Amino acid sequence: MPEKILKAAGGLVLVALPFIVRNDYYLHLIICIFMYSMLGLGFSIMWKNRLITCGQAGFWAVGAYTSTLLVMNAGVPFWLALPAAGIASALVALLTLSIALKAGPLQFFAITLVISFIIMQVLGVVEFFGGWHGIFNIPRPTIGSFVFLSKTSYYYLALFLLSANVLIFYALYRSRIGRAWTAIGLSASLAEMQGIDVYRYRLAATVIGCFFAGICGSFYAHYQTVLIPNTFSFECSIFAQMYALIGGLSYYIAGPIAGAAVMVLLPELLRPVAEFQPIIYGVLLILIVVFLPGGILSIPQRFPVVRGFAQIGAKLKGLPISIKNLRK
Amino acid sequence: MALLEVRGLSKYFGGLAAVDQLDLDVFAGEILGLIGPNGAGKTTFFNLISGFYKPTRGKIIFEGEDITGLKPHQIAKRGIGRSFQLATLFRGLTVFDNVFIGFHLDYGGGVLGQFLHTRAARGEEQAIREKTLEILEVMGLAPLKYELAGNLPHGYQKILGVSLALATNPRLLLLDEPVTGMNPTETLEMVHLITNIRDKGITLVLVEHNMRTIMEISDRIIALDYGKKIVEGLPHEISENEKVIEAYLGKEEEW
Amino acid sequence: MSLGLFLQSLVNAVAIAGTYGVVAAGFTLVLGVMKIFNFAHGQFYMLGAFLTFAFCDLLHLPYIVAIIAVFITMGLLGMFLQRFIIRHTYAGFFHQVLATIAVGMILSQGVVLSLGKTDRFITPVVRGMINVGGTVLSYEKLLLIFLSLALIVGLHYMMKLKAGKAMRAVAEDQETAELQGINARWIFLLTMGLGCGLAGVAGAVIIPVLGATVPMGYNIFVRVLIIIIIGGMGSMPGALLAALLVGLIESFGYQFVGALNEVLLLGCLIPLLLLRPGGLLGRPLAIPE
Repeated sequence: MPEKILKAAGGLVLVALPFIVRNDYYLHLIICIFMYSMLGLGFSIMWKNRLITCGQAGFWAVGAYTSTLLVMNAGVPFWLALPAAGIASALVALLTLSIALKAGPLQFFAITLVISFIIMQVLGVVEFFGGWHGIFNIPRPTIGSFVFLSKTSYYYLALFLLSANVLIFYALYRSRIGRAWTAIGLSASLAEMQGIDVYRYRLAATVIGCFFAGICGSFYAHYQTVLIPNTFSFECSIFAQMYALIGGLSYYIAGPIAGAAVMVLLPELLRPVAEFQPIIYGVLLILIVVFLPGGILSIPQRFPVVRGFAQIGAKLKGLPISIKNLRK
Repeated sequence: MALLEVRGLSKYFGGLAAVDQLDLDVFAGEILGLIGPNGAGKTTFFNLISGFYKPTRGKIIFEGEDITGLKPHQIAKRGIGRSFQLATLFRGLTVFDNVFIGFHLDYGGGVLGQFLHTRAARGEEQAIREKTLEILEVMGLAPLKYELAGNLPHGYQKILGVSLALATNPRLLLLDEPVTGMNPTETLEMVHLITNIRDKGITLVLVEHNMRTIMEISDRIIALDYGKKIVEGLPHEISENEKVIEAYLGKEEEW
Repeated sequence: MSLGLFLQSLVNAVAIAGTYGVVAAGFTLVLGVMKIFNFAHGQFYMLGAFLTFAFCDLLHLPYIVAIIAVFITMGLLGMFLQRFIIRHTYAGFFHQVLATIAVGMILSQGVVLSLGKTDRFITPVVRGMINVGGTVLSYEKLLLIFLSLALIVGLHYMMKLKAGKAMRAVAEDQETAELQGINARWIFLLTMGLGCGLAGVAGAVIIPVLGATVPMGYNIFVRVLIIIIIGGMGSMPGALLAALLVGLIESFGYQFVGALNEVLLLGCLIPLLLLRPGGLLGRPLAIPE
């Protein structure tokens, strides 16, 4: 019962947040956390299948540019361009990664990086996509005569998209599909022996993850109203990985969100030493990898002092199979 | 017609024939023992049947259907299960979850139903939970169901491995060295379990080095060496057969 | 296509292939022996180039001395990386990869902070050009080709030495190699040192021709990935062969589609993977679980 109350309270806070936090800049930070969480979630769903993608940036870009071009060149309303962006990303993923998967997980890993790189190159070189200087004045979403101008309106849109992402993933993880993914992640060969078509399930996870990356891309484009290819760099893909790692790799839903929060808020604290940021990120990464490989959310388990929150921590894991898993 | 028919099965690794022109029949309801020195091709044979290897040549026919070259999950779907020498388990999960996940094949109903966690989906889940418990009871693992698979003693891990294979609802079960590495008590228990499984109507093929066990339990025995079948017959015939003794001479085996 | 243009492209292809080959060889060495994906490998290449600039233009060392110094420095840095960071990432493959990525980030930013973001060049080592069949070939480019090939040949003979054989043994089967008395830890240090040293030297060799730029590390890393995918992960001859192919495609591709020659690479990659998922000469290399 107390959990339900906690969840309800949390939900209420999220809904009321723009009225609690009046500062536009802070709202922007939170919107960024929501957005980057989606990218991290996409990485996570593939990681659940023990697939490592270095290409989140590329599929994010596909979504962003698809949405932008549809709205600006074809007059498609934002609300149609948004799902279209997701579908476009999913299709590109389907076409390229289905082949990459056939080659093996290690090849998949390398190919996602290559594909992401090439997508960025193409977007920069080909003038139709705006070239290296990018696209400006991207129209904002509208509902009737209402234009999304305020941070508050974008906040609710981002909240809606992230919630949809989280809820869909949660439902998937809880289902037979999620169980198959868990099995694949633990031992792909054993899963195959139990009758699970490992290739198909991995492909499904990949396409779904990229779909949401595309949706996120569309939001990003119409939020920033400016799109440059350099945003979608290798670094960006690595950040998606870092969100999941810092939060905790075994926390497939809460992990990326926690990680994204850390990565968005950290630069704020590092303002004065901005030029050292990559170095600090690097050091942080190494420290976590060596000393806290389970991520931030694993701290309750490592330090019994915080054991009280361990129950909540375990619930956040999203491993629905047996309740006894919590007793660790 | 035999449950499983193998015709001219060959598997070459480079120039080496691990399995060479093998012709074999497995009949429904029997326990078939497969013996042979190390490297005779027994595990390769299992890998071929369960789909992990593609045969270089030959045919595999199960229940009248040609399953040669199918992928492992397709073969599992068609009713052939398998356990491994080194118990392959989902180590991070509990005993219960191991078998529960193993019931992947048993779900009917749509993907959407699963997704939305509808009442029907929940009902199915409950049914699978019950089936899991049933298997655990039969295999004697019920008291351990909440233990982590990786923490189990070796013998129980192997029993869990067999349970996993059972979760695919097989009509033919391939057991790879089920009692190797077990003490006499565990061995006895495994033998007991194997006979139980046979009594439930599942056909078994065993690979074993423990001669006493395999002679005791098998209806029929086939001996392999260098990937070929050297002898086939009843247990007492085989143990006195010259060719078999010769194949084992000079190799470390227990009698 | 005129003969002159053809020859020019061919020479460019060999030059490109040479550089890619050296860097890819170093990467494959580390991947094959230690089963590690060193994401910082490209940064060693970049660092090597910038260090050469520092040695030559700031410390006024002769070019040859600079090359050797770079090899030693990068080698030691690689060993340091292995000993103090990589060895402690037993949490898994992914953690290892991220650790190397982190190191790459640190190295990259380190260069930016100390030497700035501007492209750097060194005073030319050899000047002039020769005219062959209507094509103009600069001595610098020829020097580049010569040095690259020398490095590759040198590596080949190194592999025949005792240490090289030990490396191959560990690459094949670490446990068995250890049973034969090979000290795997020491081999790992050596391999890492050699791999990173090679990358550094490749950078030292390229700076007279292309200069040192900040993105060069990442750019060559992507190429190396493409190369090992084509050639087969963990296969040295595969890497070299693929490097040659990629060099040819990039060079001749540039004549036809300009800056889009990378897309051309991808276009070749996809059908190849459909036919031979393991790469041309690939051995199956799985992610350690």
